[in-house]
Amino acid sequence: MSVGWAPAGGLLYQAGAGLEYDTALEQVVPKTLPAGLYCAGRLNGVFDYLDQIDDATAAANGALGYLGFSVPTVTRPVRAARPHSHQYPIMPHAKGREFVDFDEDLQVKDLTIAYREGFDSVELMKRYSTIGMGPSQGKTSNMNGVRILGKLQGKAVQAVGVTTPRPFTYPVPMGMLAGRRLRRQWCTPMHEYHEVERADLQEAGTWLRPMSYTRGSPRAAIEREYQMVRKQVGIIDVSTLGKIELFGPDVIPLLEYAYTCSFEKLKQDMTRYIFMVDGSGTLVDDGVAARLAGDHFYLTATSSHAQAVVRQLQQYADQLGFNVAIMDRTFQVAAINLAGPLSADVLSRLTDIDLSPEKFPYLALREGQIAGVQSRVLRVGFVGELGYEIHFPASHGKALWQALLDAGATEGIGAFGVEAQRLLRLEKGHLIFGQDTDGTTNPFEVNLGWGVRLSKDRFVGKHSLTKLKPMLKRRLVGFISPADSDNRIRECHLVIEQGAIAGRVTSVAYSPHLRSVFGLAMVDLSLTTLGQQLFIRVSDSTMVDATVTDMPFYDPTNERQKIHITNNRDMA
Amino acid sequence: MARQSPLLPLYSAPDFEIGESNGTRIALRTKKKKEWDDYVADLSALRRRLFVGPAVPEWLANHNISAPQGLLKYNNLEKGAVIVRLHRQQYLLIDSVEGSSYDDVFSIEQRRHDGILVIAYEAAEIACGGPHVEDLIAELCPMNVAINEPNSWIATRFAHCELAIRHLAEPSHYRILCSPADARFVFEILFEVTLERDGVALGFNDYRALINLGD
Repeated sequence: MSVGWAPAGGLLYQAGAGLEYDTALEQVVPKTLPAGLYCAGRLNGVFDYLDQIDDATAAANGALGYLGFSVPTVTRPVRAARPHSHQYPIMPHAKGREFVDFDEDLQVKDLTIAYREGFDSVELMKRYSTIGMGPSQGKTSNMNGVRILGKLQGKAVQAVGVTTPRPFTYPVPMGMLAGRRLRRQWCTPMHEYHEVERADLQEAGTWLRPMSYTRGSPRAAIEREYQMVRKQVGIIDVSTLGKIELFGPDVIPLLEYAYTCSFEKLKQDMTRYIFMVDGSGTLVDDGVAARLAGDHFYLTATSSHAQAVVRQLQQYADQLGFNVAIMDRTFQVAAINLAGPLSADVLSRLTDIDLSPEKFPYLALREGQIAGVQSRVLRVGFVGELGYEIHFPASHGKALWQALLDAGATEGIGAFGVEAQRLLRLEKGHLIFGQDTDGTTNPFEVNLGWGVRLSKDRFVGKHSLTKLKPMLKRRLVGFISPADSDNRIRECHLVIEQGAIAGRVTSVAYSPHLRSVFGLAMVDLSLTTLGQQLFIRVSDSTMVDATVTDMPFYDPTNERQKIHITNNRDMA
Repeated sequence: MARQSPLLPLYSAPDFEIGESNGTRIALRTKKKKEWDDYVADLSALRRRLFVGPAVPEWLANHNISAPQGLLKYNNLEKGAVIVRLHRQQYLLIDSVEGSSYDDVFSIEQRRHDGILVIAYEAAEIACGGPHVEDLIAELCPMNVAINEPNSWIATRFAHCELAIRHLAEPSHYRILCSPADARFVFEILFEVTLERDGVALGFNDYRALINLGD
C-alpha cells in the first residue's frame, strides 16, 4: 500500500506557480510564485507549529504589502531540515497487491504495464491508467504515481514532472455556478412562535429546531428550562418526529418482521417502545408503536430517519406481499410534548379525556379533543416526568400550542428546547440513536436486550442477533465525574485503560440534580461493574476520573412519570 | 378552533385581508393596488381527504367518484375537483375552489368509515400564473411543465422538494401541492422569482376572482 504525504499545491499550479521537488524534504515546494500570490506552512516546507505562525505572518504581510498597505518586514523561517514523507513510500505486499490509487483501484503493476505499453510519460500514463481521475483527483495518488514512473524511467522525481491540475480544486456543484442557491428547510407548524420568541433555531438535518429560548446566556436558558420541566411544566415542539400510520390486515405480521419486539400481545390503545435493526443486528431506529385496532397502528420514528423507516417498511411489505397501506404522516401531524409534575393539571383544563391513572395509565393512548382539536394523546415519557405527547393535524399547530401556554399560565408553563430536552433525557438514561449508538451498535450493547424477542419465527436481524447475544464485548454504562469540576469531558473523549483505548464517551452534561458532570460511555465489558473507575482523556490529553454508576440517574423507580394530579402539587 | 394555512405567516396583515375559508385562516385579498402580470396565491384552505384501504374504489363509486386506475393517475371531477391515486390503496381527493358536489365526503373527518380509513390530508397549495409562469417554474423545476396537458397532475421535484404540480386551463396556470413542512421554503423561493418579474402575491379570494368565480 502507498502512503506518504503530499502538500496541497493544486491552487498554486492552477495559478501558474513554478514548483520543484526538494529531495531533502521529499516534497514539492514553490520555486516561483506569480505576483500577488503567497503561501505558507507545510506547502512551503515549514512544519514546526511556531514556525508556521511566522511563515503565515510573513505571507499575510506580503499580501498586504502587495495591496499597498504598510507592513513590517517579517523574516520567513527556513524550511524544515528533515523530510516528512518517505522517498518512496510504496510498501511491498506479500502477494504483489501494492495499491497506489485507492479511488481507481490501481496497483503498481498497473502503472508498470502502462509504462511497458508505451504510455511512459506522466500525461500518457494518467490518461491510460486513469490515475488521479477518481473522487480524490489524485490528492492521495499523484505524487506516488510520479515516484513510480521515475523509478521505471530511471529518472529523479523532478525530471519526471507532474500533470497540470485543472480547476476546481474541490468539486463544485453546477448549481453553484449557474442558478439559485437553494437550501431546503423544513419548518414545524409552531415555527412562527419560535421566531417571535427569539429561539436559538438550529438546523437538525433539514428541520429548523429551537435549541433553547434564550434570554441571557444559552446556558442560563437551558438551566431555566430544565428547572421548569422538573418542578412545574413545559412544552416542547416535537413535530419533527417521524409519524407513520399503517392500515390493513397484515399490519402485525409486517411489524413483527420489521422490528425486534412482539406486537401481537400489545393491547388496543396501548403503546410500547420499539426499535429496528438491520440484517447485521445493528440498531437503525427507535420509536413508539400505538395499537389503534388490530389492523391499524400508529408509529413514531426519529426525526432524522423517518423517511428511511417509511421506505424500509414499504420495501418489506412489497417483498413479502403484505397487505398494508403505509402512510408517512410526518409532515401532516404536529406533536407537542407536555411534561412536568403539573402537566396533568394543565391538560385537564383543555380536554374531557379522563386523565386519572386508572383510566389513562402510563403507556396508554387516548383519542379525544384537546382545546377543540381532535388529537391522539400518548402517555409516554422521554424526559422523566409525568408527560403527554399530543399528536394533532398540523394546521392546528399554532392555536393548540398557544392554548396550552394559556391554560398553564398559573403553573408557570413555558416552552423548552432541544438542549434542555437532551439534558432531561440523559438524566433518565434514555438513548439517542446516532449519538449513543453508532453504525456498529447492537441492542445488547446498550441494555436493550429486553426488547429483542428471539423466539419469534422470523424478523430482520434475528440470525445476527442470535449470534451476537453471547458475544458481548462492550456495553453502554452510566458514569458520574465529580472530579470534572471544569466540565472538560466532551462527547467522543476516549476512555483509557492501562494505556489502551477501552471505550468512548457518547453523551455528557452537567446535571443540576446530581450537581456533577455525568454521562454515558461505551466501554469494554471489563469496565462495566458498578463503582468501576474510568479514566477519560480530555482535549488537553490529561485524564479525568469518573465512576461507573447505576442508571437512571434521576428518579430510578420511575415514580415521577406515574404520579397523579392530586399528588403533583405536593411533589412540585 | 380554526386551522391556519402554513403560509399565513408570510402574508403581512397590513397588506392583506386575513379571514377564514373552509375553517382555515388564510390571506383572502391583497390591499395593494398594483399592476402585475405574474402571481402566486395561497390555496391551502382547500379541503382534502385521503382515503385508505382496499375497498376505496368501491366506496368512492358509491359517492359518485370514479377512482383512477393506475399509480399517480388522476381523474378530474366536477367543478375542478380531482381524485389522485397516490399509492396502491391511497387516494387523495382535492376539492374545487368553488366548492363541490362532494360535501358529504368532505364532511367526514378522520375516522374509520365503512371499512376504509379517512384522513383529513394536510398540505399547502400554491397557485402561480401569468404570462411568464413557465419561465418562473423553469427556474426551480427541471421538468418542462408546459408540455403537460391541461388538468394534468405531475409528481416532480421543485427547488429540491418532492411535490405535485397541476396544470389548469382557462386561464392557463399551475397549482403546486407540497407538504406543510416544505410550504414556507417553496412559497418564499417561488415568490422571490415572481417578484423579480414584478409579480405579486395574492390571496385566496383574489385567485377565485382571477378564475372568474367572483368573491
